[in-house]
Amino acid sequence: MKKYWLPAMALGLLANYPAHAEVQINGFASVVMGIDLEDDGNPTADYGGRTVDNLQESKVALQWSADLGEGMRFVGQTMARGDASDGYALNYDWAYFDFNVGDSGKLKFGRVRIPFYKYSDYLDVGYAYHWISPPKSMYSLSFSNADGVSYLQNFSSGSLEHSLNLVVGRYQGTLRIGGEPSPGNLENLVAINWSGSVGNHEFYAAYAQADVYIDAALLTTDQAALGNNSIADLAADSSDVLVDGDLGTFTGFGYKGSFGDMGLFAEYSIVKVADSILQDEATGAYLGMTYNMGNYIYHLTYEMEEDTPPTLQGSTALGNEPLTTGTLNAIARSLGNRSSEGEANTITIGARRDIGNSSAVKIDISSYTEDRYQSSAATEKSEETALILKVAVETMF
Amino acid sequence: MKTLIRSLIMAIAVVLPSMAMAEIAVIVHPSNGAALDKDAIQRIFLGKTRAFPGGGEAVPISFKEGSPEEEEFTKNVLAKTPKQLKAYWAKMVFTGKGTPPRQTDSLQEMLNLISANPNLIGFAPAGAVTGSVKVVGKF
Repeated sequence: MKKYWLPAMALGLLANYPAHAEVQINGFASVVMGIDLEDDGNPTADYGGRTVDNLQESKVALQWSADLGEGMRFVGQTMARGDASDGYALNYDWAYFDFNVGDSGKLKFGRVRIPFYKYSDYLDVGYAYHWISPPKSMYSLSFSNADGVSYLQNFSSGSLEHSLNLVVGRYQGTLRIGGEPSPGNLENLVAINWSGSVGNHEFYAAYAQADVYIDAALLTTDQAALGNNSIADLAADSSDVLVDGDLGTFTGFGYKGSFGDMGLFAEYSIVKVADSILQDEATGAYLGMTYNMGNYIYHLTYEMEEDTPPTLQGSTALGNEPLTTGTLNAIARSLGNRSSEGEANTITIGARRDIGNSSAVKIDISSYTEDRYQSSAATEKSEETALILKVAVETMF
Repeated sequence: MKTLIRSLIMAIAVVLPSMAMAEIAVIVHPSNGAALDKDAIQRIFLGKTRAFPGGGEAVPISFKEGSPEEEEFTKNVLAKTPKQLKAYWAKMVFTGKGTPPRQTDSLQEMLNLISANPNLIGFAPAGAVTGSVKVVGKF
């Protein structure tokens, strides 16, 4: 971490803020390469079969903060994420003013992070955790920021340190439906996260809700099955399928603790979107442990996810070409979720070696198994697997 | 017996300076009356609060990363390894929750800064502290 000092500091004039803002620049970078070692197709969206992909999870970011005096700062973070089709795509992930409130409060105004998960706040800073990427069964939402206001308050009671974060705002951007990116909008978004720590143990609980709008596009195969009908025709009441301001909720809990050289990690979350073609309920969880040995961290994680789709009744509303209930629900499955109804689990083992004080090399291997309705054969569940090997070099400065 | 005592005194005289280097004194301006225990010092140096327990802005000053003073303080007071502290600040900086303390690489500058500003809190090897600052704890 580099700090740029103005001569005022050397003169001991710390209490007098200089005329120009002190600017602090930090950054981080990850280069990740991965390959699916199996050659029977890859059910995950991660890495191609037998082809090394080095862009998907690679990223480089610069963050700068300008100390504006009187407890006020401006923080901007630009990040270029690896994208297989676009190379590195540059975005402003953060751009906010923050104000100190009282002794231990902070108000942010602008583009801020939504505090869903344990690692939400530093999701992209691979150096800060042991995996190459946090468990995807949990960290599955395709958005992480909102434009709005965030308030953070720290306080303590006895030896327990509390941190309370409230975010109110809106997200406009890409949301995924049926695996396909679609224009989306989350209005009246409210998120609250409490986290507590005592000694080497940390806990959190989070709740978020928003009115969800997604302008879903049909896949070609589903449109073919639907004939002249549209998504709105999938239920007698079109609002039962359209994602048109439906209440979406997120509930999550987590624990992270260390016992000498051993670490223990667990998180659990449920995502629901009512009255829509999206899954009724998506549950994700993981349990993991680490073992520290000098510059090495070895880790093992088991994660699971389970998705329950809505059941659509009858085809009475289909005016043009009546469809069977089976076909309806097959389309719903294909549309409503990445891989539709079913379960999946992943076992990951890996190692991290620290190099100096601010870089790390990591290797992870994940065995992924899912038992789902596949969009290619939506009438019965089938098992698909992937064995993904990833290596990464990560740094922060 | 006398020889034994003399040897002991000599041994203590040799060992003491290195022990003194290992002991860290947390220092504030002489006018600062805040009651500061280890927990309160940790909270200030880890960016969890910006005020002294009794009120008043608290601005921590640290030594340059990797210096012996900073390493002793990190171990004895913050109860973290350098690596844990680095990871902690990575999380704080990249979450916008806080920034590490300002740093100095000179003992004299540390003492000058603390003795000139009641809002500052710093540390120094216990043996090097002068009367211009107030020691609130030795660790």
